[in-house]
Amino acid sequence: MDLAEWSDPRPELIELDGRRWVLARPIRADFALVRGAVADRAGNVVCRKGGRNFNPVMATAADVTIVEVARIVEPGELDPETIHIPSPFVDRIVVTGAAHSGGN
Amino acid sequence: MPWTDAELAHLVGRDIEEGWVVNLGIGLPTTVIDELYGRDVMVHAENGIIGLGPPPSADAEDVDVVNPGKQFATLVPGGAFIDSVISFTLMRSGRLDLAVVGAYQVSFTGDLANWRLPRRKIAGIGGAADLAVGARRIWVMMKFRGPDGSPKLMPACDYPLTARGVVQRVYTDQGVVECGPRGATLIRAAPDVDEQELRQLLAASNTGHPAIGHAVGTQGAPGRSSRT
Repeated sequence: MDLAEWSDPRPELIELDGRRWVLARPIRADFALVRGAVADRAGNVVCRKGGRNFNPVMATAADVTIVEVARIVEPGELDPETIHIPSPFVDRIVVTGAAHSGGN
Repeated sequence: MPWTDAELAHLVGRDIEEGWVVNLGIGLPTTVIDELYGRDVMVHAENGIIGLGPPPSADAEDVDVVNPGKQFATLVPGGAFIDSVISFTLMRSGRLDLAVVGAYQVSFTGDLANWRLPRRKIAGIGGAADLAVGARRIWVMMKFRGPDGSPKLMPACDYPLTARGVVQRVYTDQGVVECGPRGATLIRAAPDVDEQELRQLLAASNTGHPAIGHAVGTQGAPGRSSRT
């Protein structure tokens, strides 16, 4: 088994505003290993292009969030308007030097 | 002669209207994108792109720009990179004009089974249910018959359902079929296909065969009717 979670074969149904819905409980992980492009030493992370999709949301859903980035800069160097993962959600940063946020 | 995959993609592409926002599923539906270049159609990819473009040249490949099947892609002018929350909100809120999906089975009344085979464990339903109940139109692309030769378009699905009564049109190698509350209608047959046999298969009773298994997302999302 190489998947952390299996789908429940009998989903929980709830009724809301007179309509039936499938209740999907949120994922919670011990560790989230996510990818960014650039981080600052305060822990803010900017993602790149498609890297913005799952990485910021998963960073919010683990006890310990570890972010891989290509490079790291000093606080204040990132444009605050472009932060995708704010520092309170980031516990560790790993600088890999990869050209892109997604790999080598 | 049945239609080839490329011919089928061409038929689907031709039926997509200018101005639409469209999601293309993994597999056969992905190939429809070749029919959409240069047209006023925005392709949504649930992995974070609105405005998916053609594959890049080899020197412009970017690991951060891929389609849901993880093939290199590009962003068209006017496109946007989005996070997962926005991506699923787009799908759930009735803003997708069309989702083209693959399927294991489709019933004559438009029940869709495309997420799980019986007694087989998979990762999860992913975005399939969100698309099925959230998009304004669902078209299916699939082979008319399964590997065992039996039609995949049938009076009632016996695989676990993704959603009930959501498929409007099915593009198969044998013909194009419209599904609805009154059953399935052949609207176009592939050349030299036995049209009579096809019509007979589609005329089979579609009552008294309740689907086995449970339905997921049996009712349309509220957003579906909010944009008309």
